[in-house]
Amino acid sequence: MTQQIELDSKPNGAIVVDPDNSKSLNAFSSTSAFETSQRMAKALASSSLLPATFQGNIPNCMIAMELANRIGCSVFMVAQNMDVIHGRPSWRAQFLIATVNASGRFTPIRYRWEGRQGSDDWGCRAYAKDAKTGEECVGPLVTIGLAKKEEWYSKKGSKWQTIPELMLTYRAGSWWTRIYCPEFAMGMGTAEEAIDTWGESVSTTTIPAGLVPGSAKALESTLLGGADPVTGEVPMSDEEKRAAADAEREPGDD
Amino acid sequence: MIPLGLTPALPDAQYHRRELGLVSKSALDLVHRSPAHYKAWIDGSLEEEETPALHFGKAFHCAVLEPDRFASTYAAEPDFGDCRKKENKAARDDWRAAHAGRELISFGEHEMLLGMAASVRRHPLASKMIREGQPELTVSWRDEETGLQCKSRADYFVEKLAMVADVKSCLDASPDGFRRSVVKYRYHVQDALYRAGFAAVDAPVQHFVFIAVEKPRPHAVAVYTLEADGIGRGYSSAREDIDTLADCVKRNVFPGYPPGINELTLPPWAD
Repeated sequence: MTQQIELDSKPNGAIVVDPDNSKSLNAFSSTSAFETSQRMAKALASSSLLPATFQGNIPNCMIAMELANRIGCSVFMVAQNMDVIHGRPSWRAQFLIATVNASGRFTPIRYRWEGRQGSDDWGCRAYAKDAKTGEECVGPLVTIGLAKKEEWYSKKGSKWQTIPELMLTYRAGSWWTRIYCPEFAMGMGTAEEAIDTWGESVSTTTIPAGLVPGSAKALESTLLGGADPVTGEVPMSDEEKRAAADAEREPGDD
Repeated sequence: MIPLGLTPALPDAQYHRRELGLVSKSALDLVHRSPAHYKAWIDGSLEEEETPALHFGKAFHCAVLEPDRFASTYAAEPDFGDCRKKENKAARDDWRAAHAGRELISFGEHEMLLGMAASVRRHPLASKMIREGQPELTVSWRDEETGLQCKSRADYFVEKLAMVADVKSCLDASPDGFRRSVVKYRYHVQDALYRAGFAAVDAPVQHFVFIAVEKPRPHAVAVYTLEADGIGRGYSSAREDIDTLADCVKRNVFPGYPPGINELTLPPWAD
């Protein structure tokens, strides 16, 4: 059963999380829904407001639509808050934490500091209260010493040395989310964690729009007969069109 | 001077003319090594290597992309044996006189090139990538950030596919082998630079494909594209090299390697 989340209690209107997506379009529910989604993705892919990863890339836009559908927020927001680090899609920690805060299932995430600033034992835990039961949910301790031991501190592109306080809260917040609401991350890590683990990557968002590659699979399909070489859209076969028309026909029409 | 925009069939001599501050992939590779190497190349004092390899590369492009021109331009010189012998030398000179104006390549190379070209034509995807397009299309544009003129020459451009195909001869076209070639020869920088060029002249390229063909028989062929992250890295590197070149030209200073003792770090894959 889908859980309904009250939207009225949001701290602000910036992020609206509504896991009740029964009214939303599920691209994979039927052939016609898929075709509609593909058209929507095509429109999105032609927008210059989306990051380069999504521009001209219909499959990426469809994935963003699917993720937005699942967590109940706008596609634009998903696209703006997803980074591709070494080929892995990752949320920005700030977005993940904001998503939890907006869900209404918990009180907004706060941080409890420990240790002395400037020393290795300096760090924080994220915590929040369950909105229904009032139970305090406390996350694991993240310290500078831990960041050093895990070698995040010295990774190329890491911000641990320049903005340690922010990095501590981001990591504590994303770990808290992973424990208490893993469904929001949907198996994806945060961009900050990805950089700490694999090192800095040139985010695809830094590529000028004109340099963004098209889908290699779409090109392959085109050359072997099929998809549009630029959009990647695969036209429906006559059989698929008939099946879609049948599916949309109301019972008793015949 | 190369005209800005797209120019088909620009003569080789005009395209390859060296000019201080003119950006090309070759120029950026030299700047990346050191601006001093670049300046020596411009002045003609750089000890250049692999002239036979460059000659082979030119013939390879022609054999794969313009087979008719290859047949009319190149001639396979037979083996006349030891040309210190009078009769052998005379036979060779006669043969050369009969083929005056043709580009000469050895019989062995000619066989290899025909084999490589045939292998590309047999490949289900590669063969379709070099049809209905323009070979050797020159693109020239001005870099907005530095004002430097840039040039590149696409092996094969297919407008309706928004695609550039680049043919590469190599010893190992396997994914692992070609990946090493990409890093060694900075093909990711080429990819990004060419994309930037076509975008600047309002002919954006969505697909930049490498058709890798092995020199040894059976002349295996594989087709590759770079993921966005690789193109991003190539773009960053190209950007850095263009900025360095612009700065060197402006100050008329072309430094070599960094002075002092430089500590080396081993790459992660070293034993």
